[in-house]
Amino acid sequence: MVSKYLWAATVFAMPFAARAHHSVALNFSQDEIVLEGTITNLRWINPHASFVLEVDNDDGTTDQWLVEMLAKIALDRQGFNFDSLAEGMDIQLTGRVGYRDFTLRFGEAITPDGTSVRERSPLNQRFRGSGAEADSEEQ
Amino acid sequence: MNTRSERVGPLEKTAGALRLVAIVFFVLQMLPSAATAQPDLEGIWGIDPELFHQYSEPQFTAEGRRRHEAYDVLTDDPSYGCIPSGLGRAWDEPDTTAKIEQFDDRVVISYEMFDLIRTIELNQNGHPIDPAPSTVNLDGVPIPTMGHSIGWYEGDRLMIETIAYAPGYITTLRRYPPHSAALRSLERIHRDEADRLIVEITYVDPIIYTEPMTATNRYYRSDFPFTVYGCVPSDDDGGQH
Repeated sequence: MVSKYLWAATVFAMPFAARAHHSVALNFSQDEIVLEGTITNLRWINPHASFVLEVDNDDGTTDQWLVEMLAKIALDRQGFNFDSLAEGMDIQLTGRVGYRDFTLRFGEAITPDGTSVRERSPLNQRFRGSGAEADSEEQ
Repeated sequence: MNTRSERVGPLEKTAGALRLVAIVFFVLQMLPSAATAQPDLEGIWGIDPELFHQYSEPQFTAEGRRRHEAYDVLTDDPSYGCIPSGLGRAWDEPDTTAKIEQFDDRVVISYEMFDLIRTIELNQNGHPIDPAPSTVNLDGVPIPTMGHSIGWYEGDRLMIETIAYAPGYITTLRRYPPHSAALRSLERIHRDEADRLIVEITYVDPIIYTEPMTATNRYYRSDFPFTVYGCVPSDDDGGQH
């Protein structure tokens, strides 16, 4: 498996679904990274869905990143496909680095068949096309 | 052939109209409850992303600034334990709904987030001497950071006064403004002409703020049903958060 970070960069304000039971802006930096790894410990729960991404390093060690997603209730209301991610699946993951070590805010996952998996707030879903922008980096 | 309208002169018409006005006035007098009816705020409400989290700039006392600067986002947010940090946090949640039920003697506001049930007794003669939290979760566990609330109606508004807060943070979204046990809040809740719910809150806390802080959120009638949230505390989440 390809290891470590494919690249890291300071993000351009990418409109991730910035909704959660706590402040995304306060818990995660604007620094975006891309990892490749295997999904374990997948949990569809409130207040945050999450999984662990196991990333093999070149030196033979393995890092475990806790990847935080929206609340299950929020994912459900935006019509998220809960079958799109599964334990044991290898993915390429883009996300924002958390202030806690090895934490990441989910941005986009690319699954083995090339499918892009994203999340959006149900608010955005509701107001899509209305001109309203529900995302806020301050959330 | 003469018709009925041709037989009634202008004077009679005026008298008839006056009689009608008098009857309507009399009926309204006999139905004072209808004339002063409480606003109908019932429903399931979801936050409006076009108007929410409108907090005024907090004006901190020295102690308020100290507490604000001491906040550690990684350890001090009780949301990780499925507990709201304060009243604002319950109203500010963007992904879940709030349900309002009105009864003769109380209003029950249920917040989907953390499965909070807040019972506001109406028309009380002040707060009790030793007030208990008005909010509990589904397990009946009191939530002291939500304080003790009483309510009444003023015109088209539901007014809620809350005291006896356990110290916490009014909200942990955005700027995590703290509050002390001296906090007193006043919520003004009404429906606007577009059938949206407007919640305006004034926070007065002389320990933390030199001036009242205000907050405004607007809500739409939700497209989603009110559900059980079923929060899992972070401590039960493998200790990873």
